[in-house]
Amino acid sequence: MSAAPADPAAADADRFGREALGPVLAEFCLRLWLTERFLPDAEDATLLFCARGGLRLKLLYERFLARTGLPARVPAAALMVSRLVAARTALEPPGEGVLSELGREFSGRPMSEVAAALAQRQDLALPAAWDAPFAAGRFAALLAADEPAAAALRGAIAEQDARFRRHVDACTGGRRHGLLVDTGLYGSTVRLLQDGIPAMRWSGLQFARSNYKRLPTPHFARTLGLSVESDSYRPWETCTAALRFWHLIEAALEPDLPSVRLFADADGDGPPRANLEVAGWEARIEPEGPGLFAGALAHVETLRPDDLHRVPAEAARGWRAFKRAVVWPDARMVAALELADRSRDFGRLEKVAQFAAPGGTLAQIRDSLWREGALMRRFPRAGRAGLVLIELAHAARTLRLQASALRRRAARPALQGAP
Amino acid sequence: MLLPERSAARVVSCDVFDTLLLRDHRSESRRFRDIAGLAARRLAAEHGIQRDPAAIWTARTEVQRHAYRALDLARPTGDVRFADMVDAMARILGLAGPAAAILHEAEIAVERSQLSANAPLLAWLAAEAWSGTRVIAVSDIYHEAGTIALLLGALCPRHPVARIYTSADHDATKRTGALFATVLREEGAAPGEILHIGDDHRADVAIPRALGLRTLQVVRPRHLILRRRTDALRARIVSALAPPPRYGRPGSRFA
Repeated sequence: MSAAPADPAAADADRFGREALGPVLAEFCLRLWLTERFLPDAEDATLLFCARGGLRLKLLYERFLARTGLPARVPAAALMVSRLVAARTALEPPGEGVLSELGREFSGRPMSEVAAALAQRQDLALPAAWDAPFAAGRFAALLAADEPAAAALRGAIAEQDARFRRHVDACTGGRRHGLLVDTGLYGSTVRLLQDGIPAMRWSGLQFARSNYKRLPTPHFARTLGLSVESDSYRPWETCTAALRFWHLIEAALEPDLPSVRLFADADGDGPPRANLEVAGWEARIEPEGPGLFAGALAHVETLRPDDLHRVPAEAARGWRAFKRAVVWPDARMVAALELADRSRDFGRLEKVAQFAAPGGTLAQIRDSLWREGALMRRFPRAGRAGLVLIELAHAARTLRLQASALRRRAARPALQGAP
Repeated sequence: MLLPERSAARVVSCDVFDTLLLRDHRSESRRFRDIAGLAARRLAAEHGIQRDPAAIWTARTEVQRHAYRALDLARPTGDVRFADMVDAMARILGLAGPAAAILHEAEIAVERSQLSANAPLLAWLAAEAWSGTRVIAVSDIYHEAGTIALLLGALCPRHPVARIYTSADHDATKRTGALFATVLREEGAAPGEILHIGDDHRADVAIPRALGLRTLQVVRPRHLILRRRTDALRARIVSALAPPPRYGRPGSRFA
């Protein structure tokens, strides 16, 4: 249980964790249990809770099972992975999945920056051609080039990749179906590992699945969003409010630990250790004090075996509270849900602020990670009218998308027979 | 439904739901609500256990949805067993022993009340059987053969079905072709010796035809399908508009 916080904003965040996030995450845990309960190849599978958000999901899931008495069938492990680490597995040679991921992350950036991120080295002395903006075909050609700097880059990537693969072997113990449990959204890690380590079968069990990148989705058949599955916010589907402020979910679940970038050989016979595994890392997965995650965990800690049948109804109420706070925030919620700067990741150290730096008013709102919050922060009194306009715009957009989806369905040849 | 005078087949294989046994206008969602309502009443009357029908309905739909999604991740040619779904539902609903058995019994009771025998098809099959054709039933369903036999026996006591194959028993479905491979092996028949009859375009026509079986599609009336879709839409709207029930629980603000 979290201690009573002195800071009013922290107290509100803690209460939001208990009343909104906790019930929603309890439902996620129940659905995760159902998935492992019915997995046909349970004896050949491992639940791999992915760093960093997955580490807190693992903690929540373990507490959920302990409180409710539901039996686990599939072994679980903490997988030290990130998109950067997964991308390294799929570079020999680079496939379409990894190139599109790199293209999106490093759009307009020099290819030397991509190389530095992948190798996590600044001493590669790459030729001038690497300074050109990222282009998929050109990058693949440069990476395969028969020259010393490219060879050094390939060597650095291969060395890190080999260590990661040994870490995967240690986590799975030879089981061939890896179920990646993570926060979501697009499921890049599933796609990259499926391409990079095809000897294993990979599936994604995410909190949310969303193709917000509008990229091809060959991995979506194997990637489930257990709590949210939608490519955009739909006003009449309460749970899609998570997509209005996704960083809130990420921030609540990501412990204060670095993203996984490097592996080092362990002393002795143990598997390689990731840079995340600093001294006392496991203790840092626990809540550091009152706040979003502490409140959510406190809710799960109140569950009893005979509460299971109430979990879906409580989750529905939790989603309503979540939407109220995120889509229709007041000044108090804006303060309660203020986040620390978010990391850009993918091997880079830059941060992104929750609320964009002052500039043009519209740009400041548009470029913020939480537009509704930014609007209410900028216009505490008149902002409410703006929220109505934003909601109406989303409703109109969703109706338009659903109408065109219906038209596409109607245009397809009808199949006979009832489902 | 136009049936040939004779099948000219060694084995006639028939789908069960919406072929041998016809469902009425109610959607699956409505059927699950009816099952939940009956189970809730019986739990209260026979065991003094209070369970909200909405909670039973949610458990049923959640378990089925996630069971099939888990199946698709690892063995998409297989099927889920209803006994496993009842076990998971019972855990969620906190039921054991005879109280848990009510979940199974309510399902069968509602199925029985909402199904009717396809009399013309059964009469034709009886004539086929009388003239020496073997009649079997092949169904993509989570129920075991014994449950289908129970329903068939209750709704058409003199049915001519000699053996029932279900996807749950054989962990193989028609829609992937795996169950037909089992049927061919168990019946010792060549594909061309079997006429398969069913309503689903993929599972009962396209797939068996691709495997070399002869097929005959029975199609439910359009107005019935439209009524079912309307019923499903109505159920969705009612479900979306209904506020989630409040439960009192120590440590929760919902108390």
